[in-house]
Amino acid sequence: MSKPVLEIKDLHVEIDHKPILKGVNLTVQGGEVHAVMGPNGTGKTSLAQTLMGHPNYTVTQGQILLDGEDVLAMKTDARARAGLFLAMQYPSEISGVTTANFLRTAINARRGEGNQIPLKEFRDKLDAAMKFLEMDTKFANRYLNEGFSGGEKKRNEILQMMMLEPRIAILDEIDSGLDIDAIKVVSKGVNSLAGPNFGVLLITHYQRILSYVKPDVVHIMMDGRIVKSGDYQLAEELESKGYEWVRTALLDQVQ
Amino acid sequence: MTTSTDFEWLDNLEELRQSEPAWVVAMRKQALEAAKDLPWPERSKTPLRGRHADLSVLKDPLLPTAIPASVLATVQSDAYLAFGNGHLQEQALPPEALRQGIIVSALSRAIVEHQNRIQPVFGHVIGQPASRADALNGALWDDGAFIYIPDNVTLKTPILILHYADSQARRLIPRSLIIMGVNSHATIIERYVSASSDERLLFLGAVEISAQDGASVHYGSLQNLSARSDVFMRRQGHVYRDARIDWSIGEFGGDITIASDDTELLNPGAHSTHTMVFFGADKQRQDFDTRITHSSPHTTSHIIAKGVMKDKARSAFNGVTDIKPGAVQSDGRQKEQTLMLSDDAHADAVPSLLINENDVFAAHSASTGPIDKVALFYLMARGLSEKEAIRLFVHGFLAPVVDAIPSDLLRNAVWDSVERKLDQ
Repeated sequence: MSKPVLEIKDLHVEIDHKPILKGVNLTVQGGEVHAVMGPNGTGKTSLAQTLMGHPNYTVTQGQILLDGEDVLAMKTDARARAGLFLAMQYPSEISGVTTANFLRTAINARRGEGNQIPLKEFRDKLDAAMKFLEMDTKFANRYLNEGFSGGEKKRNEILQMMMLEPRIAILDEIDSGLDIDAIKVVSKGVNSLAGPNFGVLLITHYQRILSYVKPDVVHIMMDGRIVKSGDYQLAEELESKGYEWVRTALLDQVQ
Repeated sequence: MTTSTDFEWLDNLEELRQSEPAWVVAMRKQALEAAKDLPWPERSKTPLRGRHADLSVLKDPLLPTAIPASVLATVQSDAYLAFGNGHLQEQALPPEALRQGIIVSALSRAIVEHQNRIQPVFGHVIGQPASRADALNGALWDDGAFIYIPDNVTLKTPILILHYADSQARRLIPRSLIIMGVNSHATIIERYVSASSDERLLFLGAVEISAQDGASVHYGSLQNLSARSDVFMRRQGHVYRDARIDWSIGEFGGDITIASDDTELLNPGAHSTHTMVFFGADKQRQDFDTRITHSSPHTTSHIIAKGVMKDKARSAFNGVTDIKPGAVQSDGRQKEQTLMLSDDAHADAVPSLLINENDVFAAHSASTGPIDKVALFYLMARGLSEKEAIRLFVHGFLAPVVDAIPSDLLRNAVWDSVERKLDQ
């Protein structure tokens, strides 16, 4: 499959008629890691949810294209099957459905009728991925996210990503609430997929994870817009100067 | 709905039932008298006015019918009875079960052949009819199972009973009687199936179970009648000292379903768990009254219900745990959960605890709500279609209860029924 290209063009989004995103422009390609940073409430999660088609968000203007295809015309499941993946900030707990059963159903949904993954192949792949993420294999037979700690849920999101092998992964605060060891493990999972056919949009509040998942581009988001983009140094600058710097120095410029 | 004159043509019961012992005919006549004055079951959530069950269908002869192989296959067991339009068509019982004195017979035969065993129990577990549906069953039952497990006998093979109505049948009035001897153990599963038909089917079912001291019975029931059926079901159990009845009830079919399940814990140590799974689609109405009465100390009960409503279906589940004075150290629990898959579906779950004794434990919980849209989004974000996501979610919702059903056969049949409802 060719190198994926996710293009976000002048994206405006509302929730309950309240504008949240006010013209976001961003392009992520295979082989690239883009970090989107910014204080809480600036629209980072809204961007992630909109990319995946969350029903609460209404796109009022702009385009999202994956390999030139209109993503906004696709339902959530079609987006996933086209290769988008969203690691959610607050994954749902699904009682009565084991992680293993869910993953197999999801993989088969992507592979389509008549091309189902053989059970043995699935099991081996799942075991290997869990081992890689230092997860207890009994998690596979626990109900999806039910009673999982915050850290276990994040790891489970990365496990799903590794199993589904998306083309573009959107990671929404995958590092929040994790200790440094867990961040290393999660980062290892993300890096394991690195290559020309895998792009990452990493949404984070903190610079910490960027030491392990090295971004090619860092974007700063404020008030529903990307107000500044740069290389890794921008993250460091942000870390030292704080978000107040952005608020005064950058937001005024764009307004 | 109907006046007593509508029943006059039924007064020649004696002619109709010449082959039956006089005591049975007398019971039928008594029930018929009661039917004339009793109302149909009254339910606040499911008013029956305007729904005139056509009683002329009680007059038509119900002809024997062959049971389609695919339906018969659902009761594959070494021990079974299969009725087609109320006539026994097929049966089997392993020789060792016969040697142990186990009886699995058509009730119509058993009232003649096993009169001594039946007469003291038959009709006495249910007692006075509570509604016209009960009374009409008592008066006009076609046939059903008589099962007797002798004292100290355990039957490992589940006993399956099939009641099948073909597309010509306009009524089905099955009645079964189960007597569990002292320290006996068995699993018994009854299935109700009817061919799809444009005509309405009036279904009046009754089941009586008597579990003597130390006996335990797992009684399963799965109802998959046609979408044009008016279903009235009455199940009643008597549980004696240290005995237990575990009910696993699946209600899927029918247009209107009104079921009354009643279990009486009569002696110390008696236990009953009543588990019900129901699924309504289209414009189905389902109304369940499930009551467990603690009349003795150290009795325990658990009512568990899980229901799914889609389209414009409506359900009401009323659970009653009734702890009588003197039933000290009793423990009665209820848990009811319903899930609505559409905005037009509606479900009520009302647990009640009637407690007339201080020294008891009782607890209940009920929840009813729409399907979690965020959870569906989560599942769809992994590539599952909406239909598949709903399927998985419903499976997850029902799994804790369905997967706990002790019989593989019943468990799989319930999952099949769920699957068919989801696809409907």
